[in-house]
Amino acid sequence: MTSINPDKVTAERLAGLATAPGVSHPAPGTGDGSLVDDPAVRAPLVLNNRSFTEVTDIICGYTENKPGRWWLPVFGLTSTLAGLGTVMILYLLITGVGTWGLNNQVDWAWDITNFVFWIGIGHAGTLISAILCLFKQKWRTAVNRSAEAMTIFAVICAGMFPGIHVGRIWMIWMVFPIPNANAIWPNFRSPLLWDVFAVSTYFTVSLLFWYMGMIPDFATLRDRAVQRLRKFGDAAQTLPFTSIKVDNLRAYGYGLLALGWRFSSRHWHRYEKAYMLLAGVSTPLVLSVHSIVSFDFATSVLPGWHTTIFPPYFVAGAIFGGFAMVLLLLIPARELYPNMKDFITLRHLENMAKILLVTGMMVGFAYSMEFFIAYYGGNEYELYAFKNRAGGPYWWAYWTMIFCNVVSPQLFWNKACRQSPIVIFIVSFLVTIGMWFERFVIIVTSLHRAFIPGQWGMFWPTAVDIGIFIGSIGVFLTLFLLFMRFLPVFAMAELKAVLPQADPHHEPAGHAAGGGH
Amino acid sequence: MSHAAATTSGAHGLHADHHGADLSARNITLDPAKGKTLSLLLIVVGLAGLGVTIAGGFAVGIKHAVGAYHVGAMSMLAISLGALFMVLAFHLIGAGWSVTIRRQFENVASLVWLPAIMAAGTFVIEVATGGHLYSWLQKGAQSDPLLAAKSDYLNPVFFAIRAVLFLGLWVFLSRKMFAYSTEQDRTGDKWLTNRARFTASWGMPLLALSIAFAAFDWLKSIDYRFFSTMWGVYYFAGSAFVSTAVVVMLLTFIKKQGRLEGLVNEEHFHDLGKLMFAFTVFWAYIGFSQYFLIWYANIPEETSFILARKHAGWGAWTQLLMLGHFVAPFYILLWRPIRRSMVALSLLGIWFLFMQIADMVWIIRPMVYSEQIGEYLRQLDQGVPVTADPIRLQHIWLDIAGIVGAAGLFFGLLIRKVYSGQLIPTRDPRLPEALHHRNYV
Repeated sequence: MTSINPDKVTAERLAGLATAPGVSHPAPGTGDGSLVDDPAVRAPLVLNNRSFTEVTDIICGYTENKPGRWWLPVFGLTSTLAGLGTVMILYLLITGVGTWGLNNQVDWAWDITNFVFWIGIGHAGTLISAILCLFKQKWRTAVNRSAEAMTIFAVICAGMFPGIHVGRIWMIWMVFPIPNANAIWPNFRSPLLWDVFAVSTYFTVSLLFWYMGMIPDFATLRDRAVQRLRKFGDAAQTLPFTSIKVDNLRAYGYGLLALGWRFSSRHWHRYEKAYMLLAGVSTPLVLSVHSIVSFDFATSVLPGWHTTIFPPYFVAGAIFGGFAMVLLLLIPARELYPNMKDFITLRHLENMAKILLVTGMMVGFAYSMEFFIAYYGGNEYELYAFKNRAGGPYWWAYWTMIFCNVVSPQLFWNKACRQSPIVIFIVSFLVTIGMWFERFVIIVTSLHRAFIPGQWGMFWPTAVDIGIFIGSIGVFLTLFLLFMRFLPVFAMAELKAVLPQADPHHEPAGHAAGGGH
Repeated sequence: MSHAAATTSGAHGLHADHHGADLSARNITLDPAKGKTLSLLLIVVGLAGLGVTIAGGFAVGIKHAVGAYHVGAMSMLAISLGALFMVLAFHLIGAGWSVTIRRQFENVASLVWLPAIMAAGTFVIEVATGGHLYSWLQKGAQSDPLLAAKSDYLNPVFFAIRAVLFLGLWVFLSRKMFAYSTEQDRTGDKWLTNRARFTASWGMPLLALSIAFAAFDWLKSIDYRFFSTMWGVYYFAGSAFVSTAVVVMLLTFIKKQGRLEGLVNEEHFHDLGKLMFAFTVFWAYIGFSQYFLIWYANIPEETSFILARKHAGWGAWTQLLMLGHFVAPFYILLWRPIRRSMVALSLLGIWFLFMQIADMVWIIRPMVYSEQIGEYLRQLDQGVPVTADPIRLQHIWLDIAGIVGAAGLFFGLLIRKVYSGQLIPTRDPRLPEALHHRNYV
């Protein structure tokens, strides 16, 4: 019963008052103890010598205990932003897309920029979960659940934009291949239609992946609620002003979501198989979704859009932006939630900083290839499009993109920078801005100058453009806060599997010198 | 275990956890005397191939001979560059499972000088003979405005400077990584692993750029009118694909001689099989994206490359690549027992090698008879009876000789290299991880 009624030592450790038995202070130069540089030693993935029970207590505690005082004001702020966005969308639907800054020349701008931006962010979740799972990178356990959640919410935000940018939202059903009285069929040769299929498939599979991973954790939350009901009986906590027991709600709610999970080995066996299959299915999906998003542009003949490197370049950019967003969310979270630093260690942050550096250089490679081929191809319009990006009226957008995406991650060559949460946070923030600007640069700078100078124009956003984008950030953060409040933030079973005591060959400290086995 | 107890003390502390792994010389070295014969044989075959190619240059035509020679050189270069990439990647991500197979990647990578010099040699021949394969070197070409637009980049001097830079970088990186690894064998200094990681960290971006620009220079510039931003990635995808396959064959060859018992097992082959699978798919993804975007946009200055290979008699070859480079290996490698069988993987490895060569043939060979292809497409376009033969299958012995020449020399030197040293890094700090590697615990 320790899991709901911790003994004194566990309680003190959960409160941060005591350290684990047998754990000395980390060696100097290793940060929190996870920054070991010795190639013969693998850094611990969970710090502070946590036991299985403590892992359960801490993670379930995030949803069972009251959140910190910061939670409600922050939630209030983000949901207000979401509300503002909703009002702006309503205004847009009532009035028409003329309320956006679009014009005859730049007829695609913030709507599609935001769409690609959010879709890109939606990639890191599946990358961390599926690809790192296939690569057997155990450090993924610290971040996979929240990254998957982020994927779902980002795709929701992304899905909003194509819906509203069609202008007549009530005709949106026409993107689906439903025969109608006028015999108007969607254009199956348009990448925009493929987008509909790719994104909805991706959303479905990501949702399944996320949900399936949570089933055992839902069962844990359910069982703990049931145990508390048995233990406390009538004295159990109730919802304010009612006689409804909170744990009753939990037992039914989580119980429903847990689909009768009983932790039997047969359940685990099927779970592992299904997880591996979903990981295998998701991996090509990640690539296909952003490749198809890139086709929206690259299949055209517009200078600046038509280049063959777009598919992998967009995928790399999506991973880049997605990891930046994961860091942007988790660095504050590990400060705000008790004991979270034991699961998201400095090593985890450093690993992700390195991924930012790598993917940042990949997009840098793509930028330079585009520029080089614009010259090498000998097409004056192509070359003009790129010169115009760097030196035309949108030069500030281009150089913001270069600075944020290519220059700022170079800080991570320095060890102190990639091990400092604050530096990582700032760079992630810059990268998020840069990745938004990347899409803006690609879309708007290519459109605003046509082949005939009479068709040149500029795009400036209106309050509605800005309001809807800020609203989408509000929706995203609100959903993420709700996730942190009500769902298991870490995959408990997987986290326990990377604890040293989960290894059948593990020998408790002090007995290791006794020879092999 | 007594073995573990016996080695726990003293300077070999790092080796305490080997659990009876056989690190004796018998298990981790091959008999150099035997290797010499085989290596000599291959080198002689290679030299003979080169000789036939040169003879073919006089008998058939220098353009055809240069094309055949270049196909061989670029195929072998792909193997080495892919291996160099893998070595750097293993160090960068701190891989543990791959320690016992890494030395073979290092061996393959360390031979990069040979195909790189050979491929650069094509350029020397071309300059000396006035440009047969590299059409931009021809006298009349300079009047083409398309070439004039890029002549700041595509001129003999800058081309040569770049070739020297690429060669220098690859030789430096491959020798450096090989030196770290062998020095660790001698000294047991575990910090060499971190130094190797550091070299890999700055080496990787430079390698990426150099592979891309080498692919532009040595493959794409053959048809100077064609351009594609994806080109460098395409050549890299093929490199990673073929190098893994070659290392699988090499390991099987070594294992069949009773070496590496308990050091490289089916778990390692399983992961190598997964890498082969991954790179098959990656190549297809890159190849398809490049083709698809050119097809969809349908801009004549890009489509000429595809048209020459899709319609002008090379269509069957394109389909062979699609099926053989992707579809067939994809379905075969999906099957788990295949990935865990070193014999099956090696057979596939031979196929992969063949496919990489086929890919280079697909890129280079149509340009050997580019005039006929131009004529063919013109006739097709005008609707007149097609008389031009764009394939020119005669003198196929010359193509084979060019490939055999490069491959004989490369594999001859590789065999010599493999026989001359330890087959695995014995004192890598992550060796225990590789020994205990399991795909499913």
